[in-house]
Amino acid sequence: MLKSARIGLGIRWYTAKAKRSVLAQDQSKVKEYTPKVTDNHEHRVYVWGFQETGALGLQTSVKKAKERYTEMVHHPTRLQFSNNNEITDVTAGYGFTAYAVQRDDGETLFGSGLNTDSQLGFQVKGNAKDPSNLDVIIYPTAIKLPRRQEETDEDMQVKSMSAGRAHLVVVTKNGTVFTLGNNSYGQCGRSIIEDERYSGSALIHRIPQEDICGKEDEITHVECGQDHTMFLTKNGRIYTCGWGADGQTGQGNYHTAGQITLIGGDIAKEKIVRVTCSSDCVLALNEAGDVFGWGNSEYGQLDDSEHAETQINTPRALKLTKGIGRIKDVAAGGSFCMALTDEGLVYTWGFGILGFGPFVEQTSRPQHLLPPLFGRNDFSNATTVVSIGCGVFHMGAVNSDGDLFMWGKNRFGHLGLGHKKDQFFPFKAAINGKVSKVAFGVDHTIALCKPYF
Amino acid sequence: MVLTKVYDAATVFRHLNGILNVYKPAGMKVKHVRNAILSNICKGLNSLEQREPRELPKSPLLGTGTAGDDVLHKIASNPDLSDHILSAGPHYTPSDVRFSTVAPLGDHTSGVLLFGINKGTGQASCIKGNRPVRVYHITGRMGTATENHLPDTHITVRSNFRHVSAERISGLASSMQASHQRKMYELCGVDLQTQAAYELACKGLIRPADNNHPVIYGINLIHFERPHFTLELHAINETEEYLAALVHDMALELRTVAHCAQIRCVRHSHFDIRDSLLRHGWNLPGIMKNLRRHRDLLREHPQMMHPRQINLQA
Amino acid sequence: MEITLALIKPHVLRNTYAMQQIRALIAQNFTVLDQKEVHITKELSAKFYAEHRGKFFYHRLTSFMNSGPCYALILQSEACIKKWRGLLGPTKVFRAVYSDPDCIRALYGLSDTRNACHGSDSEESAMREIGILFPEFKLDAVSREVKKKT
Repeated sequence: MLKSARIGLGIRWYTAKAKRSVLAQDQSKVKEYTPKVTDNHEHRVYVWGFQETGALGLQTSVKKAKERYTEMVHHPTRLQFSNNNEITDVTAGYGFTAYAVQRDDGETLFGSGLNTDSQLGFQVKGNAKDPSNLDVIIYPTAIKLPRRQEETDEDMQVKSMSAGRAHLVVVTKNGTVFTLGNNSYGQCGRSIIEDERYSGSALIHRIPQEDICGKEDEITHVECGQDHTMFLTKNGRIYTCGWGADGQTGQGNYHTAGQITLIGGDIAKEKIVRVTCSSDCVLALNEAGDVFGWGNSEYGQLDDSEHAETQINTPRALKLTKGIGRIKDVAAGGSFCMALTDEGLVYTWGFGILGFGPFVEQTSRPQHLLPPLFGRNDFSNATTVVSIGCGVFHMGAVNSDGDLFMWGKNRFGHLGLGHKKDQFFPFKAAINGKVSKVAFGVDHTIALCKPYF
Repeated sequence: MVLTKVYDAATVFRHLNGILNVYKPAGMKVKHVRNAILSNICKGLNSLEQREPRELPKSPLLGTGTAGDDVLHKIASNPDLSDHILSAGPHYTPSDVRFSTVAPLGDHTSGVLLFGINKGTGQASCIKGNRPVRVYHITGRMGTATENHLPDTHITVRSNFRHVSAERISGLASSMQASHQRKMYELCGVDLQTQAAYELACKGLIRPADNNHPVIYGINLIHFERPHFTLELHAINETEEYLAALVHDMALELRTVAHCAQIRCVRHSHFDIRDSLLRHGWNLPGIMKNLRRHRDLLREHPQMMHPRQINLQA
Repeated sequence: MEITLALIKPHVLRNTYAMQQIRALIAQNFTVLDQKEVHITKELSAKFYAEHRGKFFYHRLTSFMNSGPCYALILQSEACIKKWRGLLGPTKVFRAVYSDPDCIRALYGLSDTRNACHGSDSEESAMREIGILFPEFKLDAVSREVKKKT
């Protein structure tokens, strides 16, 4: 035995026991792993915030929801509905959400959440003879847009949509505007009917775009404030309707307007490319990167001079943002505004948590947040902010890596940071995907992203 | 400074101080690298000119009174034979050299490994306390998963990887990077609701408060050739198991499986892989040259030796 | 015992969850003497908000109140005017969300006008406002009943 070991030493390597067992493994018996691909859609939707209104569309049955009571969702959660459907756009109102969907069966618009003003269409349950109206929809349900005979599924695809406090406005590919929900200020673009009942109403108002902006122009984008609506056209014109008590319709008066009207002021000759609003303060941006604003300015968002008007009813060029460079994107919240410059710097001003630490403050001068807050550092030195947005109480920015950063008031957990505390500087939300669009609601947030897989 | 050639072991030993940057081969334990280097140092020192054996004290020898006893006089002038190399053994043994490791590397990892020698042990512990970032190149092999995510164990699962592309890996990498940077605030021991947290966030990267939690500061894909992909990764407090598990998790996220085929540490603070001493250079002249090179490097970057700071340095 | 008027504004009435929470809060703290859904028309709000006439937000306030049905309640408890206003929090919602994050207005208010609820600021205005919204409500009868009980 001793002899054989000696001989062995000379002719071959002894391998460790572990290695021998690895070499001896029968590799034909190794299991094959075929990953489960749950969805192969281009977009994926994450939702978080206040759940009780059903706006998140996460629950599937009322009974189950009662058993596992969760008032709010603190972490971004993948929406089951987006696994089965190709979602192309999202928008968030006060306690409800609408999804633009591409489907084989021709449905293009879905919604979940509060439906007390029929902002998600006429939704009933129970038998056809004795239907009971649904005030709260917990899982995305199709909103049937009234269709003319000649209109195809392609025509009915959503081009742009936006939701307000209790109304929803949708522009389809063929340029038809559909408005649903509360019209007590004329925000649905039709004349106001005294004592109209909105609950359980099946009315979806239909406006051809020719009636709004004529035959030569077309509506490219729609934006809703809490109680007013603005249409942006290809030629850079803005048409508004709805509540104007703060001047947010920009029509030069403080009336409520059920008639969709072209607005002028300083933007009369400008080509506007973007208009944003989440409450009553409106910001618009022209091609050259200049900012215009109108509406509520009680916190000095639009004008910081001493005896400034607090309700501006005509669009005016902002003096505040002069000198900070060419502006690429703007966003207006309830009491604050934000702007993004060409260099990728985010400026904030107004009242609230502006992102400069734990002191709630009011600044009338736009100040910029440092790039390291948005993920720029030695290891990723080319990262810049590419888009910004805000809700009534919170702000967000998406950087070139597709990461979403959020800060502000953490109302019902709508910052998605995993806790209820307010966040005083931009902080990354944990989303598994490249964020392409964020819809900021009043107490919930929805992110549309492209998955890595 | 005029360089003079030194043949004297004692002079060499006197200058044997500082930080040594060694290229650790994969599959070799740090302990073995250390032993190899120590024995090579001793071998080198012992082959140089040795000092003469000690003289015996010139005490008057007891004689018969005859001062002219030649034999006795001859003995008295002779060296102490008990100090002679042939009787006492080699002058330099591994235990004579003080030696410390700055940060350990796993068995399968290759690359920069720092040692402090003699007076350099103090510097080594300074660098260790600062916990500088280490940069790794990690190669993953898609298609098979192993038990401990390294190549030396049984294969557990096999999978297809045709759908994996470079864009997808780098997209995932950038998202992981951002998530780790977010985790970094949670580990830095500062309350997020304070002004201090905001000020730290403005500075950019910060280091964790303790040295148990691995933090990754940067990940990006640098090479992709199916089935292999190579990531460059900047990390603190990492271990080999952690990095291997990271590759495994990334693969699952990419809807395939993978194990970690290679890990190489390419930079540790400012100590680069280009300056590290390869195995064939692990001899006394090479080590002395390497020590001198890194003495200059430490002089260039004195902040490496400063006591710990919360914000991160390269 | 004091009585006060609580008026839940249109936008909260449409939010079933908020309505439920506010009603639970009221039930916990007060005795509800009377309640009804009212539509505050322009004429009614002109009377109701007479003291604000001429202020910049007057038009905004009246047009907002007119936008849908409101819910009015008469609340009774010890020092209920102060108590109800305490539960409501500051008038300005954008400030309230930071100064008193747990008050009704911070939780369910949307903007300084859409501030969820109204509460009378004094005994006289409580009487006046109840008189406007509940013309049929017999105040004396209630107070007499209360006296009888005590």
